[in-house]
Amino acid sequence: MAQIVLEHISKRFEIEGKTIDALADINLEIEKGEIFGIIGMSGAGKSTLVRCLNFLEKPTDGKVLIDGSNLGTLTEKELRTQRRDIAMIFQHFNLLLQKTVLDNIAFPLVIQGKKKAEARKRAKELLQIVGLEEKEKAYPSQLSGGQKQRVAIARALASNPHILLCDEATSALDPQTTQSILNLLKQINQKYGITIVIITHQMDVIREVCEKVAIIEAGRLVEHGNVVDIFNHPKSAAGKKLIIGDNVSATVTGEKSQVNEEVIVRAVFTENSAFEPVVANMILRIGEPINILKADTKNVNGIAKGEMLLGLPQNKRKEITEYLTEKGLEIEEVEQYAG
Amino acid sequence: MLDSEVTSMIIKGIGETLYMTVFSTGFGYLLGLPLGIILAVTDKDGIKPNALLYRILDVLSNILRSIPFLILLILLIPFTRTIVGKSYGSTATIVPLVIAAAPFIARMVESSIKEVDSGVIEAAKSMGASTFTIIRKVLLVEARTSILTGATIGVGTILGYSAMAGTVGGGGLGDIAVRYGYYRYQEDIMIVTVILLIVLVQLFQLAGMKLAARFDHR
Ligand SMILES: Nc1ncnc2c1ncn2[C@@H]1O[C@H](COP(=O)(O)OP(=O)(O)O)[C@@H](O)[C@H]1O
Ligand SMILES: [Mg+2]
Repeated sequence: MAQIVLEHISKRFEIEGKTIDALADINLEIEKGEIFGIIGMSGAGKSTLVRCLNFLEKPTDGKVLIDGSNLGTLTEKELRTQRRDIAMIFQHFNLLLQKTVLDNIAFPLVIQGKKKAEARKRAKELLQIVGLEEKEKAYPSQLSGGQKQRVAIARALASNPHILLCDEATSALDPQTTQSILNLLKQINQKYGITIVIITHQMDVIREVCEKVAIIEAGRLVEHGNVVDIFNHPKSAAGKKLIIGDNVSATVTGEKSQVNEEVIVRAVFTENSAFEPVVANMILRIGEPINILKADTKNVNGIAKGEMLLGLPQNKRKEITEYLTEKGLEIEEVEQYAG
Repeated sequence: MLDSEVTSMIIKGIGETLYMTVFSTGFGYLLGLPLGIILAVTDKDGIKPNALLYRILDVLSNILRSIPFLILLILLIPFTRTIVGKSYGSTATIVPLVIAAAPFIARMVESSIKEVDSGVIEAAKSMGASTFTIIRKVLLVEARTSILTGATIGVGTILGYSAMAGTVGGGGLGDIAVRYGYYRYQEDIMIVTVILLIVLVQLFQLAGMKLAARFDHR
């Protein structure tokens, strides 16, 4: 059985007579050792979902199974013990401001009743893992955002968890720091085999580290699978919006294109095809102008992926699509979401 | 005007005022700190909401706080007599001072604890901390500076109340001010005692703030 199993999870909030269905019938399985991404727009229910995984939020309906144990059947005490296996890091780090870096990291062990000296010894080892040995006596207020998140990661690892939940852990960080934190997470996943669940609203984060992804929108799981597949062919509207982005509509509606009766397609190509000047050759062959609305290369799980949005003349659409498909590009029409 | 007799009386007055203030603050916190913690924890956004318990303590502390101190002091005379054996003098004044201070302290403690970042509490929960552990190792630690700052204000207020108790025979500097300034029109002695009261409040304030700042790492 998968390490994390969600069966028909629903969560309803009742506030001042209004009900909010934050989660509706979510079914999901996350395997041991995976880096699993959950992406969605703000308010989609991501935080609620991830908080159901350690029962900080008790689902209104459904089952959460962690390593085979059904969290809903545990007593408060058993649940607290279970939570030691499920560590969590947060967008705003949530460190104790009145404790040193070392004591922050030792904190989960102190909570478990370990001796202070023993806890600090382990904390020093963890500081080394996250590369902050020289900061052990500092207080959180003296650290940068990236350093704070490293301390939070070290703290999360203190109790040797099997699972690490990350709720928007890089959303408060600049791109470079985000990269270094993601690398650290990857390293931890590989070295210790810890299952990592990453919650984010940023597609780049998913692309960078996750193997699997689930997309949630308005409390529903609309799509899930391998990152590579979903990145190449997002099926749901939410997926397309997250992956292709809002800039499509901006570009298309913003300026009137010179190409008459334009059809917009998204072309994805891999390393092999990236070398050949495919588009240039195609224009020469078709003899018609086309619009490049957006072009980008991205690293998906270590494979260079190119992505282009092309505005094609309606009458040449079939010809062009066939040509590009022949050259190994994956083509998909996106015009319908342009508005 | 300030002969040696008056001077020794004033020194004794300072001693009594400090005695009342220190003990009332001490006992006040003994009652007020747990009360404040319970209020913060059982409120609807607290870590262990309990509407009934919150309601009872909320109403109780509001009632006590809305009774003017001098009236409370008089109302408590029979109670004070059972505890201390008499109803006048500085030791007897500590009883109404504690009863007046405890709800006020509780409210300050409550608001200090509610300032603690909910994210940190969430993190502690995610580590498997129990409610009691969160109170001891998160709330009290993170709110420490704010609680100390509150205590500084508390000491000043209690000192003021103790001077008020002096008007009905409570001892201390307030007693002297009333006896000499009000009944005998010796304004010089009254002014000296008032200045001393102000200096004492300032000293407590200064020491308290210094202590709070030393413990603050935010
Ligand atoms: N404790 C709560 N009480 C009431 N509504 C909540 C609560 N937590 C979340 N919600 C609502 O549930 C929805 C999903 O919230 P959340 O899980 O925080 O979304 P996300 O993390 O994807 O931005 C939102 O509409 C939010 O307002
Ligand atoms: Mg969120």
